[in-house]
Order: sequence, then structure tokens, then C-alpha cells
Amino acid sequence: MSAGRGLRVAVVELSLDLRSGTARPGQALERILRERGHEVRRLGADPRFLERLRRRERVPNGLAPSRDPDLALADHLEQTLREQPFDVVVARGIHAGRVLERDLRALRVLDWPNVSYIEEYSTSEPDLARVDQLFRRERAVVQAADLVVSSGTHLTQFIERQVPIEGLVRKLITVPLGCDTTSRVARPSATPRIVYAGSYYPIQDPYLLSRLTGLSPFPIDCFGPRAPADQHLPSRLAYRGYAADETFLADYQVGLITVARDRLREVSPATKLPYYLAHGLPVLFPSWMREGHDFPACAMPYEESTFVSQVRQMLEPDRWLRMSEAALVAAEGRRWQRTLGPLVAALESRSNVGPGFR
Amino acid sequence: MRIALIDGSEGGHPDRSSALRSELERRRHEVAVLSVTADDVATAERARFSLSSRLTRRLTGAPSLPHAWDVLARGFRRRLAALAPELVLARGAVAAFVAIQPATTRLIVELDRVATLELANGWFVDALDLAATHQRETAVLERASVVAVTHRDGGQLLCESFPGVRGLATRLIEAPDGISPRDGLPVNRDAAIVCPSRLVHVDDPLLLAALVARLTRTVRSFGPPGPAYSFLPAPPEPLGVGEAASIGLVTGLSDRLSRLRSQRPGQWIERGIPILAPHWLAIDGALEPAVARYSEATFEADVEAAFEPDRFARLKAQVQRLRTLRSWSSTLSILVDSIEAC
Repeated sequence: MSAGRGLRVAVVELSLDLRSGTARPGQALERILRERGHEVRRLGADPRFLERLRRRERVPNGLAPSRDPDLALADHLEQTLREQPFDVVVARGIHAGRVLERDLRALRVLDWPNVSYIEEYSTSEPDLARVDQLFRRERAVVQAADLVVSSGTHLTQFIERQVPIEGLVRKLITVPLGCDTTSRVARPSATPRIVYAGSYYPIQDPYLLSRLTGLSPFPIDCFGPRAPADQHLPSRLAYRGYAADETFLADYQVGLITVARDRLREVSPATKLPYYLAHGLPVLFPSWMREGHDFPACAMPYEESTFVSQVRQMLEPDRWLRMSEAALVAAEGRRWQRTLGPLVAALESRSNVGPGFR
Repeated sequence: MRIALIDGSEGGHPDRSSALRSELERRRHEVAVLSVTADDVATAERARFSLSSRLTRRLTGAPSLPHAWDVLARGFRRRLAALAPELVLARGAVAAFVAIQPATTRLIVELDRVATLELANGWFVDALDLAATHQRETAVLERASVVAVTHRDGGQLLCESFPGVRGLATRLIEAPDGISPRDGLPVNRDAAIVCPSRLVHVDDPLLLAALVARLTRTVRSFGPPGPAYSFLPAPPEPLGVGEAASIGLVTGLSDRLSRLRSQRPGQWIERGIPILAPHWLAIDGALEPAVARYSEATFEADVEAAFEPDRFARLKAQVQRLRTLRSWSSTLSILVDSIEAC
């Protein structure tokens, strides 16, 4: 790394699908690094590889490919990373993180949005032996990383208390999820509507979303990269499709978060929360979700039994206005430029950025 | 009556099938047992992806591969037909589906798990698979004359999950598990708290480890040893032979599916040990007098409350009462009566 030159950063992800909310932090990091004069290249898996990975998850034992797809991905990524020298490799998630175990001669950063072995533990009837295998794999990636990024304060505290990986605490930093600036914000309406924007994996609890849809006195519209599988749910979801940017949020009055109730999800931050705030949307969140309680002026907790009364309270005109304004103020504190600042500073200082560099 | 008892692969109390059979035979019914094992299900899953299956799909233009339950049903049809039962008692949705034809045979289903919801809780859910499973599970519930659950909350979950199935609530009965008395442990208020040595997922091993770490009282593990996992601390020292226990600690997942599935409370009562269980766990109401409840936030205080002398004495007395009174014969009588009334 010579003086006067920006960093050469590789941001490595499993999927470069920009339709996913989990792609936002990677995109934001790329943008902010470029704004600071660094060179960034985003690398990901071939979509065909991802399809094979998904099929492997569904196909029973005996028909799965013999090679661990994560290792195949790491091989592919390592080859690409060796084609040009990088000062920093930021791997987002554990699948992509396997490449950090290779000899990369760069600062190795693991962006750790989900603790995979606990995520696996929290799905339907997992095999504990597989959970253990995931833990050992995750431990190896974490130990290979020089820096580990957690996306929320509550998640960081959880990791420090619960995750038995030696050396983790001293390399862990918290970088809260952020949001972009927006040109449109929500306005009051005589016919208010609620929006859910995200995906429909079990961790977001589509069953709860369906129950709320049935209970709600106001329509709940759903947006996301894929239509939900909802034939089995108590109420069908009002899926409106996918929108390439988030400005559609300004057409609504309340942002809704649903999330499964398990040990990990209680402390995990919601990607959609800062985006709701950025569009002036007061937020309804499940009472067990800790992050929501950090925004008492613009977010209200609910349980299934209190949802209707909470919605009605939130939509009282004066209250709504106050909460919407508070949401915009809170969003300012969560702009990506602010939340990613400490990470960028850490990358620059630990990579010894030269004196000629701005 | 000639009854085919089809044992499913979805778990449940290990003694329940034999208890059902014994009770039916005691009432002079002829019982033949078929099993749908986990291997059968896995074989059917693989057969879905067989070359012939995929070729057939292409040739017929079917939107998806055959459902695993259809593959299983084809395999079981002949075996069931050979038995010519007058009534089928099926344990689990998959076992029930293989018996759904012919429509003239009476069908009673035991259902403690909702296959559709469990499938929906996995990663990479295939929407067509999910819809097909829901359709088949619905067909089972519509076809069954009686649907038995071990806990009323399971019945409520079924009604909520299948609101379109007419008359389901009126066809539900509650037939809890019985107690199979095993060698009792000496019980003493000053003795160690015990937890299971071998854990399964619904025990919530992470929660168990966290709670054990908070206990100031001695903790011992009991039962056959399980595998060691890197993500968990080592289990407590095993209870010595002849060593007394005080209370059996039960943990469990709180999601609406898993909270219905724990076998642990009954297993501690079988050994004569009072129970310390989380407030969210669905336990047979008849066992509740032997249970001290806790919540995670107030765990230490809840534990000490259970050990107050009068409270502990009552818990201990209730366990002894339940060991003798809560027989399989008594808990299954409503189910066997329903079979005979069909």
C-alpha cells in the first residue's frame, strides 16, 4: 500500500442480487469507499451456482453434489482475488467468508449479518450435528478474519455473551445498518395504508404477517423480491411486487416489521427499519425485537393481541405527525455515511493509508 | 374390529403405539401395525427425483415432480389392501395420507405436528411443494372422522392453520400421552437438579446451557449420554447410581410448533421427579400440579420458589400420584372409545 493511493477493496458476497435488502450494506460500503477515492470491486457467486446451492438444500441426501459448495465458491473467489492485488477483502456473510481462510495477503474483514449456526438452530427441526458443523465452519472463518463487523448493538452484545469463539470479542466492531437519503417522504392520509417491504423467509414470520393482515383495520401491502408462498397462511398477503428503489414507501403511512421470535431474531437489526424511518414512516415492530425499543419517538411495539389498538393509536393525526417527524430525525443519525464511518476509518488505519491520501 | 395402526415417522412418545395396540387388543380388536419410517420418507423423497419421475413429468407436462406423499401412498397401498382393515388409525399426516384411499375405510388420525407449517419454516421453500403439502394435509383432515391431539393447543393450531376444513373443531379430541412408570429415582429437596444428558433440538440446548450456568445449585445430567457439540459447553456431571435428584429441569423452544412437542415433562414424571418447566411449554393439564413454571427473566427466583419446603412437598406428592393414576389406559380411553364409535 503506497502513499497517495486509495485502498483496493474487494467486497465479496454470495449474491449480487440487488433486489435483496441484504445487498444494501454492500452497495453502500462500495459507494462510500469510492466517494473517499478508494477502488472497489464487488464479487459474488454466479447465479447458476446459487441455484445449485438452493437445489442442494432441497434435494435429499444421496443426490447432493459431493463437493461443499462454499469451498467451490471460495475457490472461485480466491482465483479472482489473486488476479489483482487487494489491500482489503470484505466478505459479507459466512458463505462468502470462507474465502477469508485462504492466504489473501490483505486485511480480512468479515461482515457478519447473521450468526449462521444459530440461524440454522432456529429453523424447523434442524439436525444438531449439522448446527455443530456450521458452528465449526463459522468459527474458522471468524478466527481467520482480522476484523468482524456486527450490524447492531444488541447483536454485538449477544455475540459477546453467547458465541464461544476465542478471540472474537477483541476484533468485533458494531456498524449499525443505515439508509440512503430520499427525495420523497410519507404524508398523512385520510385512508392510511401500512407497508411491509422485505422477504418472506421464515425468519420474517410470514405467518405472523398473515395473521396481522387478517386483523388489521387498514390494508397491509407487501413488497419484496419474490412473491410469498402464502396458500397455507390464514390470510393471503397483498403482494404488490418488487420495486427497484424504496421511494414507494412514501406512499404509505406506517412501516411494519414482523420477525420470528427466537433468541437470535430478538437481537438482530432489521434492514428495513432505517429505510422506513428515512421515508418518514412511523414503525410498528414486534415487542420482542429489541432494536425497535431504541426509537421510542417513532416506533411502537405490538403483540398480535395489541396490534389493532397500536395501529389506531399511531394513526391519530397529531400523533402520526409527531412520529413521522421523529422518524426523519432518527433517520439522519442512520445515514450510511455516518454508520459506515467507523468501518471505513478502521480499514484506512489498519491498511496504513499513505499521507498523500485524502 | 380389524384395525390397521399406521405408525408415522414424525416422532412422539416412543411408547404410544404399543400402548394403543395393547389397549385396542385388550378390548378385543384385531390390530395390525404398519410403519412409515424415516427411511421410507427419505426413499420417497429420492424417488421424486428419479429419472423415471423426471421423464414422466416432462412427457406429461406436469408443473412439478410428484409429491413425496403420493410416492409413499403408492408403495403402501398394496400392503394396506392386503390387511383389509375396517378402520385405519394413523399417527401423523404422512401415515394418514397413505391410507386416504379407499374412501370407504374409516380413518382416525393422530396429529401433533402440522407438516405444512414445518415445511414453511425451512429455508428455500418451494411454493409449489408447500401448496401441494397443504392440499394433502387438508385432504387428510377432511377425510378423518376423528382427529386426536395430545394437547388442546395442538387442536387450536390445527383449526387456525386449516380454517377451510369444515367441522374440524367438532371432530377434535384430546388424548394425552400416558405415564410409563420406569425405575424411580430417590427424590430429595437437597439433592441435585437434573437435566437430560442427551438433548434434541426441541429441548433448546442453548437455553439449557444458559440456564444451567445461572444456577447456584448443583446440576447433574441424567440418562444415556449424547454427542458432544462444539457450540455447547460440556454437560453437567452425570447423576451417580443411587444418587437422589430434586427437580427435573425442562427447557424448550417457544415457537408455536416446537412448544407442543416436548416429551421431557412426562419423562421426568416417569422417574418420579417433579418438574421445572418454562411457562410457554404446552404440558398436559393433568400433569400441571407436578410442574413449577419459570420464565427466563425471573429464572433464579422461580427456582427458589419451587424449592420452598411446602411447595416442593406438594410437587413431590403430585408426581407420585400421577405415576400411578396417569396410565396409558386412562389417557387413551377417549381415543379408543372414538374408534369403537366409528
